[in-house]
Amino acid sequence: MNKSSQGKITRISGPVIYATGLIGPQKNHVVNVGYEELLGEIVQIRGEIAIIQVYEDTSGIGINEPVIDLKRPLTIQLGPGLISTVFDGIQRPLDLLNTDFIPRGAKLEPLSSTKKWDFVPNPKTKVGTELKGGEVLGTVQETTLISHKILVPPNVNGTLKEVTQGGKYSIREPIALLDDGTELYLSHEWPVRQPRPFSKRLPLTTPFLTGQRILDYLFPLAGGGAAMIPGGFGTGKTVLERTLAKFSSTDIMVLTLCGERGNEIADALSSFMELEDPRTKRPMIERTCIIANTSNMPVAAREASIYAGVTMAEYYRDMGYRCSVLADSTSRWAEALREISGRLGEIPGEEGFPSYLPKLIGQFYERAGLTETLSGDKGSVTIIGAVSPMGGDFSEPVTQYSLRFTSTLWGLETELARARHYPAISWKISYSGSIREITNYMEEQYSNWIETRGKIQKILQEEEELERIVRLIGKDTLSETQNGLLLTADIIKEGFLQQSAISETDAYCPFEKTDLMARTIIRAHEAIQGHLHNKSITVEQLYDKTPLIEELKRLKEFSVFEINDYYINLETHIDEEIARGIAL
Amino acid sequence: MKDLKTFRYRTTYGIQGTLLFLKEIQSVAFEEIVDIIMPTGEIRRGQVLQADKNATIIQVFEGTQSLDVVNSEIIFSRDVFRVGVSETMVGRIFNGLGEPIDELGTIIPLKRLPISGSPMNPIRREKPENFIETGISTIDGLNTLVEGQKLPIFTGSGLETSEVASQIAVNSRLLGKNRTLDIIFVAMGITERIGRFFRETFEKASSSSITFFSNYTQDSIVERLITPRVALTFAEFLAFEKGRDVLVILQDMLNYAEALREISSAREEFPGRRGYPGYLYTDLATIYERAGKVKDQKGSVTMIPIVTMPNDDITHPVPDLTGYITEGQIIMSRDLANKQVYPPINPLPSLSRLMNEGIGKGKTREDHSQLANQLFAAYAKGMNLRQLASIAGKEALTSRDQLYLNFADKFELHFISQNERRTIEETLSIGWQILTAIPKTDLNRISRTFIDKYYPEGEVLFPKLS
Repeated sequence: MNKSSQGKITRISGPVIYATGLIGPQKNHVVNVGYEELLGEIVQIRGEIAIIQVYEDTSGIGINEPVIDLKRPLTIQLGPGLISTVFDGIQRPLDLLNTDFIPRGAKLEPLSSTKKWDFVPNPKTKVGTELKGGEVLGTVQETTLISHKILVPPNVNGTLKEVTQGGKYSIREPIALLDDGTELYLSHEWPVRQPRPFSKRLPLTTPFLTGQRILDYLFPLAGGGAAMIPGGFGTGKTVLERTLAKFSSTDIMVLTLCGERGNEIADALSSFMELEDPRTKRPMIERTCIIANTSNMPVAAREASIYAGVTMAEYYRDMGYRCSVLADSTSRWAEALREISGRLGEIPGEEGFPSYLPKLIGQFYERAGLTETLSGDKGSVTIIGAVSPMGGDFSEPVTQYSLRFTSTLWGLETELARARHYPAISWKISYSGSIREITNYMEEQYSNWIETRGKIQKILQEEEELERIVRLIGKDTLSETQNGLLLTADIIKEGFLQQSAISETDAYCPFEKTDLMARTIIRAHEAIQGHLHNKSITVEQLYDKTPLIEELKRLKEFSVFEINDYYINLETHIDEEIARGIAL
Repeated sequence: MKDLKTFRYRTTYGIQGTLLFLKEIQSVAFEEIVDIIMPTGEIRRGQVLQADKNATIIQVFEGTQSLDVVNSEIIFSRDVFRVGVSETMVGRIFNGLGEPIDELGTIIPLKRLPISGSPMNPIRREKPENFIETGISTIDGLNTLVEGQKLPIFTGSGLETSEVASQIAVNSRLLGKNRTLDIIFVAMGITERIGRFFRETFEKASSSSITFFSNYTQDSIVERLITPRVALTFAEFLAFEKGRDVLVILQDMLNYAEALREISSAREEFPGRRGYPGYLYTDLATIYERAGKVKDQKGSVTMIPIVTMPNDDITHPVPDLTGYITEGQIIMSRDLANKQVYPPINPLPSLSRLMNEGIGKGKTREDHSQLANQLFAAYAKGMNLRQLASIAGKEALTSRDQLYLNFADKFELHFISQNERRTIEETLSIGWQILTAIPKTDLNRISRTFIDKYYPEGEVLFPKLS
């Protein structure tokens, strides 16, 4: 630690305090505030006065109490042990706190300094090697799923002078020494507001699969992209995110719960402990980092938590992993900024939010990407940001700013949620900015994705127009083929788009099954349309006299193999059932 | 506190609304409590909103009217606001600051706790999963309340909300164990008439004990911000130190938020939507998030805040932000009330996020979740068709659609509407009976196993509607 300077508190107003007497204070340096040494960060300097946002409750803190400048920016500690720990916004491990209520001023090491990790050195890094930032010194098995690469900190270069032969090390014991005397450890610190460097950005090519049919098939997101989920309360945002955290095709999931409900964190934890990763059959928690700053925890730490989350993801990205950040909710982060900004007396922009909010939102989403790491590996950070628009009104600033910096929108709709259509993702307002990027990959793996996807979207769109007509002049005016289209739209909505997050069999739908279901429904639609066109059956008869509609709506209950059998004989089966139904 | 000396000042240089501005202060702490001694001997209390040597701001609980600026003396307590708590407080009546007003004598507190509490460590939270039977079908069947949940009631003026809330309080049972619910009723800015209604209802029912904290319409708005915190500190004490199960009813959060807004504007803070301060979300969260259960401990705090929606507008900031924090919402509907449906709870926009944790096999019944889904879907469809019929006429609907209209009518008449307390078994059974109004083949939210097991055979109870 560098030398520090001491000042004293002159004003306290909520999370903002004023201090004088610091020598050469710098913006974004952290300080200890008061006798209890609460963590704070200098956010503004006005002449003699340093203005500090405090990451803990300030009630009872008095003027004249000391402020100590730590002369370093807000950092988090990166190393083995991040996974499956629950941290608060300033990286205090809540599991180690061991108290039912969070006491103020608790001081805890983010990562265990006593736990020994089995370090295996990288055979390529020998004494005398010129090491550059980001290079791999060796590995530690962090969880069964994750081999944690120990990296040279990105800002460190030098010739390797000594390196251990391997063995059990804690994060406090050096594992290597450079010529210039720099010691390297299993962990290092990194300032959270500074993106970690990489060698270059790569074009996005593969989908970030979620196991959710509507997302994977209609509105896919490319791995390394950014998506946003706006939704009023009660639209199932939390459940959707939980589902994404569980089932997404990602190596590391960083869950940043920012200003949200405490019970949700309890729920997330217990379900991640129990649930198996569908691909690796290991508990989900072994690939999950959680940052929890609930709505009643100090507001300034909410602001920091978003950055801590994305920095952790970048750290694992630098090891060559596919990482995802789920930030819930970016609106609470923006509100924290607004609260601090208001207390600083800054001139507000839209709806009281600071005028630099769009810049900060842009910079946050820009930390997503598929990159070549400093060590030449390939790693990605995919960011999914939830937005909680006031009154469900998407025209509010946080939603609008976020739209500009994310390529993909998964919009949740109150109407759908009210009809218990879950996930309540609207096929009308959602869009994907990744279609072009992943087309090659998808067409190689699955036939006719673009075409079938187009057909589904067209049916849903035509349905909307027909519904408008029905609303005006009634159902009588529709032709049978048009009624048939409404029927298919109904099958698509209930049988394909709806997916229960609590169903044991359907919560996760592998893309292979999604693809097969989509093709089955479209193929059935075309066959049925033929029959309706020839007037060999009516829609009403289809409902009353054939099992076809119910079968199609229940496709999701069956396995890929069963659906495949059904698919192969589809036309024959439809012909037979219709003939049988008519004969009744 | 580092220093126990008292500090006395006569340096008030301004008054604005309920705020005092002081200068030349040697030592002051944020949110410290002060006594204001007036020359008449009258003592008022206040709290520090901003601690600053030359611009300390104090908010006076009783207001600043006829406060003698020059001659009043401000005494700093060197402590934050605390409330004395003990189990003997159960069943008593208090003012908004936690002082007894029922002439049953003073309380000898076991301890004095700061009212702001501490945030519950999220990872020490127990997942709420015990069903609370309220006896109301739209809640138990479709929007289930569970122990440790915060489930607000969003309502409009004149919708018999107090009746519904008091009914929930009187009728709620914890199933399968010999535990009772302690009720804490927190009046914030409501009329004394409503407060009296609650007290009398409870005395009549005499099944549970109710503790009252009252800040009525005519009481101080600064006190109004203190009242829920005093009550919740007491609730936490009962739950987490004494292992009791507590249900806290807060009425009305709109009045609370308006008090917050009034003080915010007196401080000349930049207003957010509809003049409410930008930190309304955070402030509400510090109240609502105090509901919960702690791992390896008995008690629980369940919370039912009542929020009036001005002009029935759910996008108003107070219901809106409440909805983002709480685990669902129960919504009262004027349409249903106008149809003489009581309780007028509209299940479609209502939601209990923790419902799935509290229902199912071993808790309520195995078919509960799927049955509820089917009822929701069918009622939603019925409502859409009703809207369609009102534009294009009933003739425009197919005979199949007519069945759904009929279902919606029956659902309102027999399921939502009720005069009696229903057990969960009764609620589910009524649900199944109403489902016979639509074709059996349409029950696609329910597995075949459950349909075979629970589908009512033979004649159903209800008379056919014309």
